[in-house]
Amino acid sequence: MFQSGFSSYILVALQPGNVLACFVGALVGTLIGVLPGLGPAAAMAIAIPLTLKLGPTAGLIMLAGIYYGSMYGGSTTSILVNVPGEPASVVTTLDGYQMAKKGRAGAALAVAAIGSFVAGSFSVVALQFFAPLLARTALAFGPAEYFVLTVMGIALLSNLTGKSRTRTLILMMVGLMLSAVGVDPIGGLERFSFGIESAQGGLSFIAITTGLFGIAEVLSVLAEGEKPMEVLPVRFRELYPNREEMKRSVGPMARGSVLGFLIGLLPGPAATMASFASYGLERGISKDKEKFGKGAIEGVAGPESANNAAAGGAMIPLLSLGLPFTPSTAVLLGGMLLLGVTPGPFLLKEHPDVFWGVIGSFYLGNIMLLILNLPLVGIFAKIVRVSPKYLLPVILVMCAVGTYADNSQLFDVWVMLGAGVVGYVMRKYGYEPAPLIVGLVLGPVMERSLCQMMIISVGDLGGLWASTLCKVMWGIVAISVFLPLLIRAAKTVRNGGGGEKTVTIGPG
Amino acid sequence: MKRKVGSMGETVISAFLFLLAVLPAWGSTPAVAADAWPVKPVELINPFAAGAAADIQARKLAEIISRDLGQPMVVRNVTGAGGAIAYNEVHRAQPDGYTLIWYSGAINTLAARKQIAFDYRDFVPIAGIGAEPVCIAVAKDAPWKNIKEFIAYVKKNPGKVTIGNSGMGSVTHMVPLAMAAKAGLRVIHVPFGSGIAVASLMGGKIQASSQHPAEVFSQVKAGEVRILAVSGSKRIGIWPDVPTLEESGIDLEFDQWRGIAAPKGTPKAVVDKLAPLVKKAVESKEWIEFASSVGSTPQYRDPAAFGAFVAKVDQYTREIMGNAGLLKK
Repeated sequence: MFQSGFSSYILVALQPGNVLACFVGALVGTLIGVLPGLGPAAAMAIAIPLTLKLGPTAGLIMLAGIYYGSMYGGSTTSILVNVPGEPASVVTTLDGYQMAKKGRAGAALAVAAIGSFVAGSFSVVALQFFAPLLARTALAFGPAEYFVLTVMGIALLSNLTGKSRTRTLILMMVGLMLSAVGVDPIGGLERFSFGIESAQGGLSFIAITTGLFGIAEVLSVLAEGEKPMEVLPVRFRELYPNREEMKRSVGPMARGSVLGFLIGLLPGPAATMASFASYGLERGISKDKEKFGKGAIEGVAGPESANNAAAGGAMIPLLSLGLPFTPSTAVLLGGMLLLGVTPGPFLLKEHPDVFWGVIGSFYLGNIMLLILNLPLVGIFAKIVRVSPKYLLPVILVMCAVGTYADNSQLFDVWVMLGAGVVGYVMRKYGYEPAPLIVGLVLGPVMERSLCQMMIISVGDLGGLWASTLCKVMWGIVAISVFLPLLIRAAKTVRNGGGGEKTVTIGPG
Repeated sequence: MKRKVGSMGETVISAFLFLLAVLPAWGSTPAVAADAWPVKPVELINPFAAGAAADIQARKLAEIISRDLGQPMVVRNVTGAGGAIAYNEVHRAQPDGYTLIWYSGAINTLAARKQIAFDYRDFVPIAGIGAEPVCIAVAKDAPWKNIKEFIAYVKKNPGKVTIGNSGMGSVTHMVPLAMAAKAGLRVIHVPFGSGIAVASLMGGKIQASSQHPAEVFSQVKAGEVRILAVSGSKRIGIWPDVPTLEESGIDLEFDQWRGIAAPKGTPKAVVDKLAPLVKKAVESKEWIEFASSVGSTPQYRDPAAFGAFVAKVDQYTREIMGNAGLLKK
């Protein structure tokens, strides 16, 4: 039934009005993605009144276009100016920006776009064929499982930048601590807000990310008086990835797609986590770990595929169970209800035109986005050659406007500026800010799930390893913590105590 | 689709242009005199996240009201701290009729817990829109056929049954609190957000969940979740077979009410102009159909009646919280 429906209704997506809605959505999404700050959830909420006038199919196609389009644009500013357009592209700054410095901005942008396309297409195929099968994955996760999952995330990503595990862990802890600012999610007590009204809601994740990267970048360029990047004039063909770069990207794209899709099935900030997880994975399995952080194309291809796949994965609990797990899918659900469409297993029966129209538009939208983004690569890649005296004010304004627009709080702009100063100092002393973002992302989930678990188990910590899933995850945590220690010990024994180079990688 | 393709294309283009125009201008609100209210877009501040039950109703109603208002009514989400940030912002705003609050039981619960330094008396009621109950949901394979069996089970297992709600001190928390007090039960209240509470219920991590109908009705329709009772005075249209708590022998009636209010000092002219427009919108066929479809019962209340109603609920909320030891002195 699934397949016959597909062939007859795919035409819905190809109706001119729907194609246009898809294009507009994808274009707006790309712009939202490129702009730091303002994210897809806020943009979709603004677009809802307009989509109401379009009817359910076109309206939803447009909303969905904004949703996955934003995952395409996020990497652009990460690569070009070290400012992530979306939290899900934070990790892309690590290697993408280094590539741009080496004159490979075009290659990085193109690989990000191709990776997004591969992952987007993969996730829609998976969505179409495996949705009923995978829908229940998330239900195996309760508060206890989420808590252990966040612990696992911290353990696995503790070597994220490969420089110093201690520094990475310190920054993750700082991120966790910052996430505790504001009214606590369980008891409603105010913490660390110092009587500042706007701080009651916590420090804005967007503001901190934009500050640590965007504003800090502006400050460090100002401080160092950097000249525009010395980019060698490249011929058109060299703008795009060469054969070797493409070859090296295939594996990361494939792994990023699968990993991102699976993470997307779970609640929480899936796209951001997926990109970090993919980076960690690529770095972990790479034979040449040294090149990460210095412009490894794998560090762009993997995460940029993963965040798109996660966006697709998150559609499964929404479409099959009506459960929105991310702010963006919550807005999509709201949009569906407003348009008179109820998601769930009967969506296919009651509104086959809507269901297949939207699925079809995913295929179409991904192709459009690829066509839209690849020619832009040439234009965008020139940005790195623009003199800082023009570029910096633009970045500053974009960061401020985007941060303010996210929740209309001036306080967020102050947080952003503060984070910018901190980010500048961190860079000066060799602290890469990406791990702090990991802490900030995981913190709220970690805190809430631990409290919920403790309430459910009436204070018994045993609930943390009650289920098999928890036990398996604890096992992974144990392996990731102790294996490097054991390897080092083994090496020390073999070398007779001369573990010279391992000092920088080892914990503590 | 009923619309013709050509006209839809035009709509899409104009929609896009509008979006481009609106994005940069969003959030800027110069002060304008209120005599010819409204001469610019009116902001309806929604303390809840985009996409939630409260949000979609705000957006739909704002859209209907905008048609007669002469200016668009724009919903803006200001989230955080259980709604306190939004209430603070509106409380502080110029009382010129351009900043309104999407008003609900949150004003009662936030004030009772001293999470805001003011209460309903600092707002001018404009219109009551209606109410939606809180429903007690259980997983499809739960052993209880009705609320009576559930209560009997909780009585036999005091302090063992977990009920998820959408947050400490929220209206969805008030209902199981009051139910426990009236029936003499000891239950464990687990504060969740909305989506995760339903997933945890379906995954068997908690035994029951108190939710607004809009948050669970698609799962109910899919047969994943059953509703044992609703907290309102009457059954609701989407679930005619689900009894109220009162019918089931628990003397409890507690709805989430919704409406629109403005900061104290807002000119009477604004209230006089807006209230009839809200009345027209709430009594329109379009709204009645939409609101009912998400489990809400439309009921217009004029400014005076609405004010009295909110005061009454405030009293009752404090009573429930006082009994549960949640009232902050």
